[in-house]
Amino acid sequence: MMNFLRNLDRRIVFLLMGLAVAVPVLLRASFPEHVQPMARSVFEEIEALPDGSKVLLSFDFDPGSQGELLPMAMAFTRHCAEKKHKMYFMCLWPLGEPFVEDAMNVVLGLEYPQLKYGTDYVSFGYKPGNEAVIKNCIVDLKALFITDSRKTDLNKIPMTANIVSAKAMDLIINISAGDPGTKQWVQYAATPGDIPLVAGCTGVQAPLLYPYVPEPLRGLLAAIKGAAGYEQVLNEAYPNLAEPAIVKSKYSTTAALQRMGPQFVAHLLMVGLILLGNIIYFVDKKGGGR
Amino acid sequence: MSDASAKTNMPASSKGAWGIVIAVLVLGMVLAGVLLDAGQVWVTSKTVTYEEVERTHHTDEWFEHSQATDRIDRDKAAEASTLAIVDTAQEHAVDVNDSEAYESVVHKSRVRGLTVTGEWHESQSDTLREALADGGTLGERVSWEERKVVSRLQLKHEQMVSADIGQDQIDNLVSKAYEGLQEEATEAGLQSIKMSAAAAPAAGQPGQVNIVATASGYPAGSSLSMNRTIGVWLAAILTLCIMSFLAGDNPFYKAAEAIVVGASAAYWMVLSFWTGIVDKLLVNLIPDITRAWAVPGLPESAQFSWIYLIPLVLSCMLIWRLSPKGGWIARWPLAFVIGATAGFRLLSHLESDFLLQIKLTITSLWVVGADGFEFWNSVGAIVVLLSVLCCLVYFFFSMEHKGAVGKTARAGIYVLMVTFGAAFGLTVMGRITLLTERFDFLFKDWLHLLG
Repeated sequence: MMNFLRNLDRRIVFLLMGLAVAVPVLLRASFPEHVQPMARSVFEEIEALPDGSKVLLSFDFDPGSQGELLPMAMAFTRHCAEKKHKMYFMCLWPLGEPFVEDAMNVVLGLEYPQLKYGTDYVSFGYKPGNEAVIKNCIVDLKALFITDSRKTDLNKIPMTANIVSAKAMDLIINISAGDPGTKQWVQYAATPGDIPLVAGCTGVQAPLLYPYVPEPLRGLLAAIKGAAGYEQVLNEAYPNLAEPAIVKSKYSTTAALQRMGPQFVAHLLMVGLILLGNIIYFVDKKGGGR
Repeated sequence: MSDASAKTNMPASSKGAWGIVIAVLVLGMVLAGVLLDAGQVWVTSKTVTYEEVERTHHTDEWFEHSQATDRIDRDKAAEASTLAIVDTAQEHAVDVNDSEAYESVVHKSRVRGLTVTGEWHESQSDTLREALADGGTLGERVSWEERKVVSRLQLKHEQMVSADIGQDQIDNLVSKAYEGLQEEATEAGLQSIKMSAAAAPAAGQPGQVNIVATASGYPAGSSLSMNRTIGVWLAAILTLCIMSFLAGDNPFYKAAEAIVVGASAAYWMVLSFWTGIVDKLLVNLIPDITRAWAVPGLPESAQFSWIYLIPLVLSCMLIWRLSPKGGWIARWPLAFVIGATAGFRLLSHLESDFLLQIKLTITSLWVVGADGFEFWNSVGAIVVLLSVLCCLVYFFFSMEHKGAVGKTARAGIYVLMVTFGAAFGLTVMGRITLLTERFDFLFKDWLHLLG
């Protein structure tokens, strides 16, 4: 037995991990979610804004990170819609634009038909240039964005006609999978422009971004755990989001919460495997080493 | 690298195993296709008027509809042979007999959001022309075909009977329930109907049998969308190909990887052309041509801006690198880019990553809030301060790490270890989430195992 464990084929570990994730997904297993203070502070930051405030949402991620970031992106969109905030969408990643379109067409278009493009939300689309785009946004937005993503003159869209720069925003929400992302929004917008910023990021990025909390980053949703906490607070505050039709929709209001079940089982397996590896190591060491 | 090493051959010993796995997968897919409608996407198609579309989609909402209609009528009254299409930003007047010009305007309007984001058919331009020529208004007469993805509807019939009535009678009731439900499903117009009926002992009710009949099908009027179905199957097969790398490098993984890289590169290239070259360069160098060709919303005030000749020249110099001679010319724009980027980043790093971080580290160790002394926040502040000092000492190599300095540096290593551990934990969480998302797609969108 010990010999089998000592030479355990890595493919068996992969198979176990696959089962640990697949079975809870199939069973829709979920566990009670403890909301972290950070998720609550992100919620409070958006909630505390007066209705109709201007919010800039930058979707800086691509399909490779959608598992972690899309639930929080859609939750941010719904929260802004519930608060009737004016939403200005943009992205610094070229593959982020389809998610902006989905947020507008699928979430806002179907769930909030009373909100209209041009008066309640608008998309600047994708612009190449990384941090230079952010710098331009806080100096002279229209020098860079002449038209919206549908090629309409920004001066002819009511909610952008009088916007000079991103400094007019009451809050910036950034969903980031890397560079350019939250770090650049901190460096080029939040710090020099003194604009409130909250963000959601991948797990890999989180340790690098925590030092920016609470100044100048007002709150940070780290990975799927942060997204699940935020969804929980949001659904508690707005019970209409827990309606079965929305929960079962393409972009469910409990997407992140549903993904915490497989997380729990997979982490148990990970901890078990680490313990097993250590036990084998110490047993071998006691037995004279191999 | 030799040619032999560049190839991705399956190990000879495992070729048989691979063959069996592929055969099982193909068989599984066929079964899933037959039994689970795997990957099938059904849509309902409905013709909606402009006014209906306007209520749910972002068309020209910032333009009041009544106002838009007034403007159409006004223009029509002014010149009978000219039609005005009012869109998000400006009016286009075109001769109804000039179909080429007309098509061009309609297409531009589409780009600008007039013709919605959904399915749009070329034939609609004729409808639009006829509707307006007949004296109709844009809102009443023009229509679009809207398609919505639909799920299976389920009908269920349950009946509780006593087990004493005998197996024959139970079988008879099951058969009746089956037929009744089938009739109901047919009447409802469900398509691709799947039926089931069975009798089983009722849970918690001894002596009782529960007869359950279910029928499911797609709503009346829906149809199978072949392009979306092929898309889901392709995504599922590519996902499985990528996952196959866990068993070892193989041609399926390589093929999927090449497709992903190729599709991403093509997407980047096309998007960069439109957002970089067209939206940044051409709108400033040749605004009139660009407006007519690609950016109809470009303001009339946009003028030629000579300053954009500089990036044009620098870009051409950068491409010179591909030339067999004069590759050194590319070094000049490269030097400019590096210098500009370094200067651009220096200040922001200094401000947000250096000065601000120092400021945030120097906080009160005795935290007093609105409710008085805050113990845990005070502990947190002390831990942050000590951790930063220990890490700084570890990276201070001008003194030998011995004695008190050595012990502090060792504490710094522990702090770094904790940081790396947290980073690893969060990375694992991210990777598991990716796997969860893929399984979610496979089980829900492809195999329809999840509701």
